[in-house]
Amino acid sequence: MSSSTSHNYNFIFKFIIIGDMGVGKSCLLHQFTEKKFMANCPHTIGVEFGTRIVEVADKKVKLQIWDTAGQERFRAVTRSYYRGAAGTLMVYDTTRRSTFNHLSSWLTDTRNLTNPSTVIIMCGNKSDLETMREVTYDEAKQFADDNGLYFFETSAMSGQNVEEAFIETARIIYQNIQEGRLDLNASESGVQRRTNVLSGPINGKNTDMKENCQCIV
Amino acid sequence: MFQPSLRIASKDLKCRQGCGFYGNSQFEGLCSKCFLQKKEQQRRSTNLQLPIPSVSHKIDPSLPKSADEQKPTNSPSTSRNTIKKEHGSLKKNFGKTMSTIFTKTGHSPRNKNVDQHSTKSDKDKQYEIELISQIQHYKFQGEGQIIQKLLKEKQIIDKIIKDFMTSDHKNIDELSEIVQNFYIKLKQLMSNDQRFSEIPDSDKEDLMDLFEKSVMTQNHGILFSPCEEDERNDSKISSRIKNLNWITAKHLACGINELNSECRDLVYTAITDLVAIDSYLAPKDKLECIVKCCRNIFAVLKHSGHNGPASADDFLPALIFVVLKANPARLHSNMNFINRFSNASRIMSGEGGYYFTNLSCAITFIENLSNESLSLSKTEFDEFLLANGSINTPWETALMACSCFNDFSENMKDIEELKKRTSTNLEAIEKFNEALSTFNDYIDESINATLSRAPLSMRPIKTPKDYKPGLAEAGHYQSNLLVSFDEVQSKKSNITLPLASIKTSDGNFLNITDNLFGSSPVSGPSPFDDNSLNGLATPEEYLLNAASDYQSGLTNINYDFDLSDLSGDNSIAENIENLPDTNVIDKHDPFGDNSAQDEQNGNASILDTDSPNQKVLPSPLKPTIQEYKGFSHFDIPSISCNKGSDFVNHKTNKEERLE
Repeated sequence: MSSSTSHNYNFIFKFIIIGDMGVGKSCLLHQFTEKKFMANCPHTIGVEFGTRIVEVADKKVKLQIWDTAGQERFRAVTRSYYRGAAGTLMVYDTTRRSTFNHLSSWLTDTRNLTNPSTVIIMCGNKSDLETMREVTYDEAKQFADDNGLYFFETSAMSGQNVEEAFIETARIIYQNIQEGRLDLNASESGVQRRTNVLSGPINGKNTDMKENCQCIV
Repeated sequence: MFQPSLRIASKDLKCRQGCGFYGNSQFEGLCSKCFLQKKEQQRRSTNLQLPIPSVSHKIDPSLPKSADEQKPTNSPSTSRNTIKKEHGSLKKNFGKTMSTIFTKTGHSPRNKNVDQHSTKSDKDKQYEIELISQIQHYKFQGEGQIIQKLLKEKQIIDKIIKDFMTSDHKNIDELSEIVQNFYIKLKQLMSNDQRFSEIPDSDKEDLMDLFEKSVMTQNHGILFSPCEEDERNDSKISSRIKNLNWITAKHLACGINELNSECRDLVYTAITDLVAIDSYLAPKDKLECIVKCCRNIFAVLKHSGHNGPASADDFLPALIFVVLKANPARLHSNMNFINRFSNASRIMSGEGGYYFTNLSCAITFIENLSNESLSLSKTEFDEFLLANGSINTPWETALMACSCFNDFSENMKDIEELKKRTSTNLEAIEKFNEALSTFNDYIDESINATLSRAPLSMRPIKTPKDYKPGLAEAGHYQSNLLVSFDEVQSKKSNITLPLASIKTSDGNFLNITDNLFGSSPVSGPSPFDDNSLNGLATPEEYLLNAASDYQSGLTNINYDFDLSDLSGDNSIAENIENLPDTNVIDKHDPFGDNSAQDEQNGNASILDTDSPNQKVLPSPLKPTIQEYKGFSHFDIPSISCNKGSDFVNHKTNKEERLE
């Protein structure tokens, strides 16, 4: 089947990035989508807005990442961002303890506003600023373990672990799809399957998806 | 198509009846009197179960007809159409709900039937033709089949929508779901149907968009703002925004620089884009307006000197600000329309989806806005709300003082431009200066090089035995200078006091040469030049000749002349009499002075201290003076004045130094 390069992917996963203001959410996004830390670069919006295609288990997955406003006063209104998110990156700043302390409320929001299969990844950003560190790795790891979260310490500045965090999230989501924990037909699963790029055998649950069904021609 | 404008023409403010009074949007654009009249008429007409009578005729014909209103169809002119038409135009112009009477009569069962019977009107056909031509544009293989299929689907969904909207218990969300499912079905059909198999993916999406646009444009009239709730929300948010017009960018802590003209232009553009949302019919086009608006906001943030990538932290407040300043018409209805009938995948993902979500957030924020969300105290917030309108925000001021402000900012821009140019010039000057100093250094270097070379070649002259008679014969004061200079250079380490005296004599030599060449222009043009020349020639010559014993002559004159007197005196006669003395003293004083000093110090001459040349140097001084005397013939009057005073100063300095 023909497909242009820009459409050459099997899935679209929607991610959102949440966390307090100034923890480096947009820098993480830029680091991942444009592979650089843009300290002074102007914001550029292309056709592919906040997206990047990655490969997960031989499948091309287009990650679509939405940045959110982290200010306390917007907390109440930003719930529509969560709608249909397959993955959530919860970011705090390792050099500011308050951002770490707020994680539990962010987590509550995420749990309440996303579907249960949403993968939540915790990111301690600015790990390059070791001297200013206020939250230790062990403490954060403990918090992540207690809440069943995946945890990475990242640096949008150096790019350390940024790729890993996003791709790991995508991998877990894909795994969930494979294992049938994620219902692709649910309107808010945050995952779209490209119709004409046929993928390998997927869990029997999905056979009712019409694009795979050969009887309607 | 109706083009939205940021400004309201004054005729739109007047009562729509044209009675000359100003209308009120709460009275549907009528003045209070006409409104009462109209109400009365409406009541009567409803009571009588008659189509609305005079109201429709009263509509100002000059009012722009919105494209979204139902165009007059070929179906029998019914009250429903009339009402709907008026309904649309009223809403269009005032963003206000119509009285419930309209809605009620509009959907009275009697009128519905008429619409149902005219399922395939000319208008529908027109939309179909449009769709066909758009599809033909792609030049697909077997496009006839595709068009046929799509038209069939379109008829199906049209019927579904119409049937649903005319049913008694309609729930718009249910219909939304039906339409969404239909989209999904169509998409699946496209990906599986053989007729579509040759079409590339992106074109399939375009086809979907065309289909959606066609269906939605056709049914816009019944699907847009279908329930009273939407209208109520529209007016609620509109008046809410009006009440909040005092909010500035500062309150929202967003990075918009309200006073920067470029920023403001971009914000204006963003506002225009957002306002345009109401003028498009298809959800996709409406969404496009939002995207354009948001892109402009990002441009604004870029302009506002933000460091780092513009993030959602900055973007959302800026969007809220733009929404507050734009106050787009029928905001809720538009949002709901997009939400309900746009292809769900479009608003769940992609750039459009992201911006749409942000706009929803912005609207929710505005609706729930409290003092805390603006970090104001409760009383402050209430005061702002009460004083609403009387407070001039920078934004309002900018709007009011638009032209002045633009001029001002234009001038500022010009000034900045000039500043830039000036700095460029300054830089160039600096560079030039640098080059100049380098050149100076180069010159100095070459001079030094030459100087260091020159004495070497001169040295033979210095040999005392050969030199003495030679110099006396040459009689040139400069040769004397060179010799003494070389002397100093060679003896540097040994000389203490003598060095000082030689140096001063050296300096005096230079002064004299200055006098010789520099003073003549001053005296030259004076009317008594000839006189003075004639008059002076004799006394000076006489004096100089008389003072054949040079040293005694010098010592005689040394301390006695008063130069201030001379400079103050205008009398030529006196000048002439006095000048010769001073002049001679002046010119010869350097040597005289030195020798006087030397005598005071118990030395016969300056150069005596330099043992090797001791005997050679005193004699060369004489011929120098004689040579110099020749020059002084022409320059006497002014030389005497200026140099006298100069010399006095110089001498005092020298004396200080020596003592």
